[in-house]
Amino acid sequence: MARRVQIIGSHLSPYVRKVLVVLDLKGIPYEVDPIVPFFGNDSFSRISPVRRIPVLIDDQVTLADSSVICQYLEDRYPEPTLYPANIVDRARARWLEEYADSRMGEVFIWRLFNQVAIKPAVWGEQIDKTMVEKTLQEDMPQVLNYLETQVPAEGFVFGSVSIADISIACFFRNAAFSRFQVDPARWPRTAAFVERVLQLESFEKLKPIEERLRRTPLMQHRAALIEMGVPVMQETYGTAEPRRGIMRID
Amino acid sequence: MKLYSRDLSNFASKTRIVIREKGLNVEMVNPPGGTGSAEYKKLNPLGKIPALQLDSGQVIAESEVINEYLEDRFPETPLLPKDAEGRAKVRSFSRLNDLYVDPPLRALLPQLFGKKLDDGFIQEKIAEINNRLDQLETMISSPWAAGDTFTLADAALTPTIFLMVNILPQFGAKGPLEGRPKLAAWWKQVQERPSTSKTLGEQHAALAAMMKK
Repeated sequence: MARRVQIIGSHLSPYVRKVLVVLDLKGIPYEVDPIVPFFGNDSFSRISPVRRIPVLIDDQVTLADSSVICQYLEDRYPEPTLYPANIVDRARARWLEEYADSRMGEVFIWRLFNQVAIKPAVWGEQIDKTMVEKTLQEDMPQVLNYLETQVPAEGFVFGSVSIADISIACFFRNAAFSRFQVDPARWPRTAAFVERVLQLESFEKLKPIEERLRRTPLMQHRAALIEMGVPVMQETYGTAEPRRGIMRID
Repeated sequence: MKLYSRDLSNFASKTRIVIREKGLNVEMVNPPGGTGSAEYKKLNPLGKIPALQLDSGQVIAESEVINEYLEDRFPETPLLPKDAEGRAKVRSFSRLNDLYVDPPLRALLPQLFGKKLDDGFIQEKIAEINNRLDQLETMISSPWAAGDTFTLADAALTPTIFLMVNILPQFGAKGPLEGRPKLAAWWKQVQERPSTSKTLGEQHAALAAMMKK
């Protein structure tokens, strides 16, 4: 390949994490531009029209959606396969990925992580305590009840690790950043499953990076990554001042 | 196989176009008791359409997941290119349609069902729609959305653009094709296929019936 794969987006995003885990499992080297979407400059709008992360740039394409990116990586680098070979299982895997990205995204990210982490840090805004309370009491349990019916007691959903396991597990890192832990008495399968998936080496490698960035002001993320020896892109799509995307996020 | 569908829904129409392109024998039915009914939620817990029930009884939800399944299962009339880059390009259109073009349009629909929406809200959504359509105008190819062949991208966009063509003027907004020559040329062409003209006919009849109420 002519150039190294570039990923624009912060390690703290579950959607970026999904792509980084897939890249690592497939043994594809990459470099990152660690921006959060609110800090994208004008060029960022060009490569990500909806101002979302991650964006992948390689010698062939510029893609701005984590599911499209992962499927592209699977098509271009088929080994190891991360989508089940059986057609019905593959549809189920895509469904679980979609469930994670949309429903868990709404609950774990917009209603919880956004409230307790992004709003105060990026916008200097107050936490909506009523919303957080409702999320913890109603929405999170509803998601966990559903997952409890979907995940296996042992191993991965489709035998070997797949996009379904990865997509679901990614959101539990942000839940942990928001100080949410799955109650193993209430959701034993899900608690054990998440722990099992997050113990994959590809997730383990990212954990120290995530922990460091979590404690580092956004403007110093790039420097922190360089210090940790993570390959960082020379150019950046970031700015110093946050601006809201086209869509409201709250 | 059985597809739970509604004629007007752009997501259900997206799957009906694919079924027709591939010439599949699929029974198309309305969700029993409506999408919110307990009976339908037993089939599809999210209560959304479309949902595809396989002969084994298993149900697959989400239009994009269903379309990918049909492409995997019935590859004879391919609706995705063979190369990874081409496939990614097609999927980017479907995602743009599903996640970003549709939601601001969907937000306006309650007004057609009799709920008065706030004027500022309407203007905000129309601005967002125009933003998305401008983006689409820069991406869209010819003769088909992603290039030389009809793909899942065309199936995804056609029913959504149909709704825009018919609904935006009712909000005093300019039509989606106005000032967008590439999109207009694509739209002229895409309606002519048997799969799309049949599906658009169903959407049209459902829309007309709704407006009469």
